[in-house]
Amino acid sequence: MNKEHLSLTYFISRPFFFGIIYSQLFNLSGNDSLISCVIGTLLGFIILYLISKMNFDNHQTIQLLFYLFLLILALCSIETYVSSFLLVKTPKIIIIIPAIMLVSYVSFKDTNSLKKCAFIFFIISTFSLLIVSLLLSSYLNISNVLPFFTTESLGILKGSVIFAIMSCVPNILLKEENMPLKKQIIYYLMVSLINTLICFLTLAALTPNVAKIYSYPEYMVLKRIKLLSFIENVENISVLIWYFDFFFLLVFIFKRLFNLIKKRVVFGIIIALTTLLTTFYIANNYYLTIWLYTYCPLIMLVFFLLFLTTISSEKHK
Amino acid sequence: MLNTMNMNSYIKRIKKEFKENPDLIVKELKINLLKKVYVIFLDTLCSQDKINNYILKRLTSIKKSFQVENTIPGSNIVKLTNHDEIECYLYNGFTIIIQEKEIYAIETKVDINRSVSTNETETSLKGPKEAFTENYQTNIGLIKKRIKNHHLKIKNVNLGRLSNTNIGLLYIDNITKEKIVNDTYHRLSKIDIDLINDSFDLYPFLSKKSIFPTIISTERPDRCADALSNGKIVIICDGSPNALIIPGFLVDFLHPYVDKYNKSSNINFTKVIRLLCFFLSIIVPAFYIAIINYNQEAIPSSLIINFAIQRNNIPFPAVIECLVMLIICEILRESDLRFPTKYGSAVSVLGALLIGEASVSAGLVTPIMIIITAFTYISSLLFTEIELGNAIRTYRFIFLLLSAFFGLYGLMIAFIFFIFNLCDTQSFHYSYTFPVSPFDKNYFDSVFFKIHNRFRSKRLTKNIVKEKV
Amino acid sequence: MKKYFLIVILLLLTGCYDYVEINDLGFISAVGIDYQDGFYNGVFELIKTEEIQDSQSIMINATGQTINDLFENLTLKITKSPYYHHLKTVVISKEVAQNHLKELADYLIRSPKIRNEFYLVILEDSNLPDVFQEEVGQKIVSLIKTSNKQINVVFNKSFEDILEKLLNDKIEATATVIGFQDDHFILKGIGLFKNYQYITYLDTSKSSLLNILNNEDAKYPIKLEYDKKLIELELYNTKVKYLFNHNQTTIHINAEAKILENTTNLDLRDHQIYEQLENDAINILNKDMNDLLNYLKKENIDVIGLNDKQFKKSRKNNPQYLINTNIKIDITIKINWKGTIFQIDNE
Repeated sequence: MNKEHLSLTYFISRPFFFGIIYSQLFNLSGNDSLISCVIGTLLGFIILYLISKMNFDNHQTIQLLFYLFLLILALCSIETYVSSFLLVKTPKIIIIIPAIMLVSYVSFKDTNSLKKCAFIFFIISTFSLLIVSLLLSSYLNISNVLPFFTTESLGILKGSVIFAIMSCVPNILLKEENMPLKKQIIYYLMVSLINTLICFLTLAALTPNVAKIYSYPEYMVLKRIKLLSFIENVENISVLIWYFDFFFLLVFIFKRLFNLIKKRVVFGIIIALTTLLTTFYIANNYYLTIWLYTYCPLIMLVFFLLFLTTISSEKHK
Repeated sequence: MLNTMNMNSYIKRIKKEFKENPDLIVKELKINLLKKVYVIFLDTLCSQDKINNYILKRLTSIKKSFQVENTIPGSNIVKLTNHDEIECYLYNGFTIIIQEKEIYAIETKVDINRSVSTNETETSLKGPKEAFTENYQTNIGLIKKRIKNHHLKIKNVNLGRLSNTNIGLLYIDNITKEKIVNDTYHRLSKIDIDLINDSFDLYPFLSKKSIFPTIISTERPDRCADALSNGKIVIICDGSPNALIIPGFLVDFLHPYVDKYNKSSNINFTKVIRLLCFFLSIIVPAFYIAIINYNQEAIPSSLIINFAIQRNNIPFPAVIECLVMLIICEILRESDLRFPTKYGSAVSVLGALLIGEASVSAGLVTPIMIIITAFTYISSLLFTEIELGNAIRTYRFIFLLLSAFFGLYGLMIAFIFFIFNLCDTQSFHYSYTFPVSPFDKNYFDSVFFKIHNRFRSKRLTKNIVKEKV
Repeated sequence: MKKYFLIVILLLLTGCYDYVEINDLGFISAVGIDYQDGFYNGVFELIKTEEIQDSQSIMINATGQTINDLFENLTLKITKSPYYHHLKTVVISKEVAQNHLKELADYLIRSPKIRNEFYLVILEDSNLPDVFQEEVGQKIVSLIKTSNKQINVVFNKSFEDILEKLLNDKIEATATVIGFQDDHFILKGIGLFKNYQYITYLDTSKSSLLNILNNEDAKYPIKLEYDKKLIELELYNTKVKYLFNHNQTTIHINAEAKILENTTNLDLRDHQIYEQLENDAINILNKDMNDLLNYLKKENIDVIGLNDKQFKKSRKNNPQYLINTNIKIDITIKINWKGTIFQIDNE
């Protein structure tokens, strides 16, 4: 079992869940979100199988557009989160600049040190998740999640499709690591278990009705942690379960973009333009952000179907 | 080969080269009417007793021509073929004997070194207390005392244009991988500098530039013997009481070697505390600033009123306070190292004033800031390796700056940067976070936590069996 | 390398927008809201962080036409920037609880500056400015928390749990009700809501029963009389189970009891006395419970959550379940502690 590949899959499959997916999932399927997660995992196996058959040699424009879309979504997500909870008055461009500088410093170095780094962060992330679930265990109430199968089935199916797409399709970024398909499926299963656990924690600690009204329910549940009257209000520290995912996603997007565009100057200009577009146009207009969050699974599905055509074109050769 | 005529011009040449050296002594002895023998040595480096008793006594009683090797008693006799080697041997304490056709060098070195004493930097309560000295032979002898096996090999290099220092590379033949040995030897032979006073001068040539130390420098011979048996290389430099061990990983600097002489169930607790202190010493000032100025909700409500009352009359912002206190602590530490203890203990008294009640009553700092600075410094003094302490200090300032501008978000960015730099450092083609990040159970068990393990690490050595049942 | 370093330093100097000194923050510990003649009147308790003299907090009044106006008009009168993350209680008057709870709840949840860990408390029989004299926030919280350990007659959870019930259409919400008497706060009971509207409150004995039915830790005193003399039991460690069968609801209550006071002539060394005591106690408890349930049925306030519980078993939502159902109560009481003495009289 290659621990570094497991950590990379873990970090790439999770970032879009923070802020975008869980709130949509709870809205669509309420307390049956656990069933959506399970069905979504099974759909994800099929998507992983199809991804391993894809071939990107002649389809560089679609790749470029896909990576730019992922970049816009990730930057928008980081900016919205940080500027709504942590640094409220800071302009968004100043929030995003240290992140971009760190990521560009890291992405020009070797992939080997990145993989070692991923293993250490994986240990930290799972350890803090364990501690958070132990501390939250006194607030869990299983009767909040029962009974199953009371929401309409269309909502459950939509939720499972969203879950599968948003956690599987970013694995296209890891295609060059050459992981065998059997191992990929095992790693993906472990990551989905962790995602389902977080979904269960959120639903059982806050009831489904309360979880539906928040826009960051997985963050609001961390506000409930209390121990011995001196560990309280620690949500800004325990949110480090989610921080490292965005870092790895951005690093891999930068690396793949740089492989496509081979010159540094052009690469720098494209990154700067995308950042400025996201900050000044998308993140500052709230209705565009909402539109992007609601329709991003659809756009990802479109890209996935476009990538599917690369398989058939290879077969015809 | 020389004849008598050439011998005279030869002597003249030597005398001309060593012109302003009054300690060069050239003795001319007549064996019989025709034959002469010249004895040349440097007075300051040779032992008069040995020369008198073994060489001159013997030579003055010889009446006919002789073979130097069979006649003159001496443990180390070398036959020279070249004029250039004379200078090297003279400076190493050898006596040169020039007979009509041959030049010989006999070792008669005087012992101008200090004796083997206790070590000063890596003290221990149990275990051997010997330390290396400045003499090359003594150092190698101390190691050979502990590894009595013919597989221990030494490769010699002479470096330094002016100093001509003797440097030895030790390794065990059937344990160490040949690739590291050849690579290190190659790097050493490419060095061309003036003077090598200490093994630390070899540092920039052996390792790549990084903030963290990647080569272990030690005074203990038992640590060198242990490193050799684990598949590492030891470099000993003439004139230096420190030996270098290659490669060095982060866990080797975190935990001192003397943990080996303590019980494992008790020492594991101390190891956990050291690991915690490594991170706390970097993060705590930045965390405090982030909480006090950006995310005040993380402070429990009973403490927050306390902090606000304390900060009432202080004119500086908390960041400036923190920076000033950290710099004052650096000044104190540096002056503690340099100031000779014989002059008095004024340093400790003045230090207690600066970081103490006087600053609080003067209204310059808050009491909580003094506690945090003191805690930070005590945690960083746990590590014996001074290079690691300097590396921790660099990162402490980076964390503090980023957290002062961006709060907890900046702290996270600095943390990711720090861990990435740790993983990116390389020590001789091995990753710096070796037993943790490419996970290796055998090395992890022996150094990181003290757990009994019968095998050596697979990545460092060829031969992995350490103990047989 | 050095160029990047300079750029980094230049850019970092542009930060610090959110830098706040801790002694510029005004910690607001309690908020009181009232509604009169189209205006919200509020009282805010601000904790002093200068040297402590006679009192530790200041009260500031403000008015506004909407709740947002009220919170903004506070900043006209306050010398530091208001900081709500350590807010402990929100006290509302009857008028606000009856008609304006929805606006208040929406403002409090939506604002990122206010956490939902405060206690929402309804004030009966007093005026807000009279109540806010000294330290209010911490006192009310301590009062509620210690009652949890004694007899538990109030709803001792924070606003988040009230919110869970307000948003759930199958159960009605409850909140603590306090009063003010002789310069002291006094706990009055549990207030009942019906769909964001405050109806009335139950007194302390009925509140204990309600807490027992909700499986909270509550102690309920039962007084038995024999020959005009009193013996008092107290129930503790109750466990309640609900069983649903078509329209019939059965409530099983398992309780343990202690003897606290005995002035009768009963001989406590005789084991048959205990059975008699238990049976009498069961009868009294049955009667009290039926009183409470009939009261709730009459007002049609489902604070126990019978609709919610039967939905989890039968998956059918029945909003009139409380009115239509037949409730049968099945109680077992075990006396297992009588104190350190048997009897105070000498026989």
